[in-house]
Amino acid sequence: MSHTAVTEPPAHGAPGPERETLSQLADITNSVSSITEMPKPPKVWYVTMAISLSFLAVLGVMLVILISTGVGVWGNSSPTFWGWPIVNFVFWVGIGHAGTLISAILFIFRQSWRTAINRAAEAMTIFAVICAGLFPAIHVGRVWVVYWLFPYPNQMLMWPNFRSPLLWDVFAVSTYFTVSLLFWYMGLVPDLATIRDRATTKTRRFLYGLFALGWTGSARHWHRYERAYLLLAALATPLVLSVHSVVSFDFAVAQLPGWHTTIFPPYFVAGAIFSGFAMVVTLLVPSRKIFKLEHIITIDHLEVMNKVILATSLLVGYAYAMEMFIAWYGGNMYERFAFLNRALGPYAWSYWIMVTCNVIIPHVFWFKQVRRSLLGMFIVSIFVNIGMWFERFVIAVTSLSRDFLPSSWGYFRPTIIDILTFMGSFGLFFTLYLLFCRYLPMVAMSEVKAQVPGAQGHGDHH
Amino acid sequence: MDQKPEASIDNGEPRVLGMVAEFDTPDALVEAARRVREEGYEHFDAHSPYPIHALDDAMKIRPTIIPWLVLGAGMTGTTIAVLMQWWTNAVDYPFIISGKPLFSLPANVPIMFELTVLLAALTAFFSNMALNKMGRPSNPLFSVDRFRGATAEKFFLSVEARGFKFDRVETKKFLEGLGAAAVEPIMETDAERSSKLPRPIVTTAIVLGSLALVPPAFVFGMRAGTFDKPRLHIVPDMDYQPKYKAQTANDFFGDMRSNRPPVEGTVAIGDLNLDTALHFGKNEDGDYVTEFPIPVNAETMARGEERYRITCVACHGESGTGDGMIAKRADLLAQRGVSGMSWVPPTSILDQPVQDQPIGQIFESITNGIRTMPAYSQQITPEDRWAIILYLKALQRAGSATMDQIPAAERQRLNAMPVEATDDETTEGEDE
Repeated sequence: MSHTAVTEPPAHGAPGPERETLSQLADITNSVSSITEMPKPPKVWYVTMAISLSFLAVLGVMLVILISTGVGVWGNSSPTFWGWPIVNFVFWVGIGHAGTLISAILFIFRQSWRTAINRAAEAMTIFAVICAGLFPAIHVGRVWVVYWLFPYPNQMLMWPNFRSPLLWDVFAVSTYFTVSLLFWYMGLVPDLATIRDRATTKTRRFLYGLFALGWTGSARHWHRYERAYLLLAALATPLVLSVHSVVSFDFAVAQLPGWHTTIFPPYFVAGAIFSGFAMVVTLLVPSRKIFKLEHIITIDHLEVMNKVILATSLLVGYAYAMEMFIAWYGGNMYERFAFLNRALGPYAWSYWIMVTCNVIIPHVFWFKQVRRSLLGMFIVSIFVNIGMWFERFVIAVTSLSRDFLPSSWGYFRPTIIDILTFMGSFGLFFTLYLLFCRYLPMVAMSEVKAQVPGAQGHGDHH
Repeated sequence: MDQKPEASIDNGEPRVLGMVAEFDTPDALVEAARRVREEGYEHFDAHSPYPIHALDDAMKIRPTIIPWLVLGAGMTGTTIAVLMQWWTNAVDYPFIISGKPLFSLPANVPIMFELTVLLAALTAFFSNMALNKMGRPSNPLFSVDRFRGATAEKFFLSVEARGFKFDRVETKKFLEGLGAAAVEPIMETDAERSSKLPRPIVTTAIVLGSLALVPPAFVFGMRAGTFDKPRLHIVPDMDYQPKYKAQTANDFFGDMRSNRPPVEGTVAIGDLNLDTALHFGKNEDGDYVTEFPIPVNAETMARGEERYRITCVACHGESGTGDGMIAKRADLLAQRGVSGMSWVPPTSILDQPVQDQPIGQIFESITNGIRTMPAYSQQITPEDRWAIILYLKALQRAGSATMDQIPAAERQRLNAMPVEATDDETTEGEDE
């Protein structure tokens, strides 16, 4: 309907710069909406979707095996009772930090470049938090009573222990998920209305209309909407920083050497931003190409992302160095042993994978050519993803496998179920992401439009 | 205008609900909005695909109340978090873990923070929805085909038919004069005129609504009712455990029993029991003993009383007449006519046959059980069993005493007591 008007020049002889503004607005609407409207998505979409779905099926089978048998199917065993499930949880929840950070913190700091990438990053956040929430939920063993984690009046006359960081975690992660979802959905509403108004079939108009909540772009609505959105951003900003802090308390509040350290909250948050931004780059580099969004999600945007990755890599590297220093300077023999054991013990291989991927490789981003090279940044982002998984592995497993009593020492080995469950979680993540790319606006159209030069008028009405 | 719609309903013609004007540029929209407001229109709105901040001033939009609602919700969240953690962990279910205090603010900070943010965020989202009346199933504006551009790249101004200022012709002219690319009336659609929800939606809502009542009704019924069977246990995880219990079959052993007999010719620690009087209540010849194999003094008597009150009193009652809580409850149920009851009342220790029994026989009854009374050899040590028998003999003596057997001083005190306060055994003693 209205998109036919795109080709028409604006009536009433709009002056040149205004014409430019209007055609940019039309272009944004078209480029983003048409992805959801094309009769068939690109072939690559089908291929990746098929792969993702098969991994998702693997995850389903693994969950059935796990739930019907028990957590003994995993490698978790004395002394390493926190194995891959917790590593995977921290890995995924860390990735889930980029979206809300980009949306909320960069929104508060008025970093307008974020508008091109925030929608996809927020979607990624939500899917990552879903994957993250899966692991502690299945790690409790008796999945069917997982609701016992929440404080509700029950016939056992018991309440959860609010002095435990594990319960803080339940609240932190579920609050983060809820707020991220609200934030994401709120941003989606005007864009869903755009797609509703372009709909050519009744079904599309009904379904997108249902979720667009009758949005008309009213100025009075925009006024409240923007205020509420700003408040959500302001609330989400400390929330982003708190989630991984609370996750780090799971470790830091325990008295285990290598865990019991005050650097954990900031160190975890830096790592989370680091891994989250890397995952955004991993996803956006192919997505923008497949769906032809290069002119909206530009190389400049990606370069800024890479700068953040470099900065957080330095933070993470500093944290690794500081852990080592404090272990020596603190003079506690158990701490010293824990850290020497990390770097030189039986898990040294994982420690050095971590250091290589997280501290050494991102230094290539000092070079502008690499920061602006799609292939270069894609490879680095994959390395960062790998490195950040190993960081959590190193923290969780090396400390646990070396108990205070040498008689309890052990070497952790994952089972095939561990490995396939983790791979399956990628199936879940990518399936959701691909569905998002196909059916929802990948770019926050209304926000990008508001940033177009001249979109706020040329000031001649003042 | 107000009188027009009535006439049009008579014609069966759709009413005009307002006018919508399309503008090409944000500047034109802002200027038009300012002019419409200055002209005196109250019910008008601007529509744009993205927020245009100059409109706030042009339309004189008043600041929204949302920040205050969010502040209130956030503070409520903090309060709820503190109260919840204090009440659940320090009052209702206090348990000490790792020596941590039951209530300490630092440990409560994470939850306080999370609930503050959660409630504030939910309020920000839902107050925006409510104040903007979002989620309406239809809007007359959507009947204007052209209006679809309002979410793409066009700019619109809508004027509602409410209010004195609106006139179908004049308003149209006025809007065209503001430089509108097009001005169209907003017509009432059939759906809005009937102002009824479509039938399928109503039916679905009624069906789903009724079905939604089933689980709460079921839960309420279960909670309010009484049952003669154990409660429904939703999570029976711990009820059935893969283990062998006493007296069950076990394929593993040749004799198919899960109980293992002691190795032949051996005695388990503590099972030697050479003192037959102490352990079996019989002398070497197999006759019941009549003398206590434990010292008879105030100390063992007190011990016996304590043990009796722990183990025996539930059935036999404080005086030993068989009026313990369990017996009373059974009598009550029998009076109510509860079916399927087979209740053998506990024996009164004051019965003459019991009084006549040698203490060795009473010991055997406690040790091995008798009739419906179970064996207590596993719960009570032999010494304590004897102490209980000692106390039991004292009860028998007290229960069958006559008034003149009581010392004079005590008798006086007894007579001075009000009738209600007299103990059972005393009254029975008087009867005899």
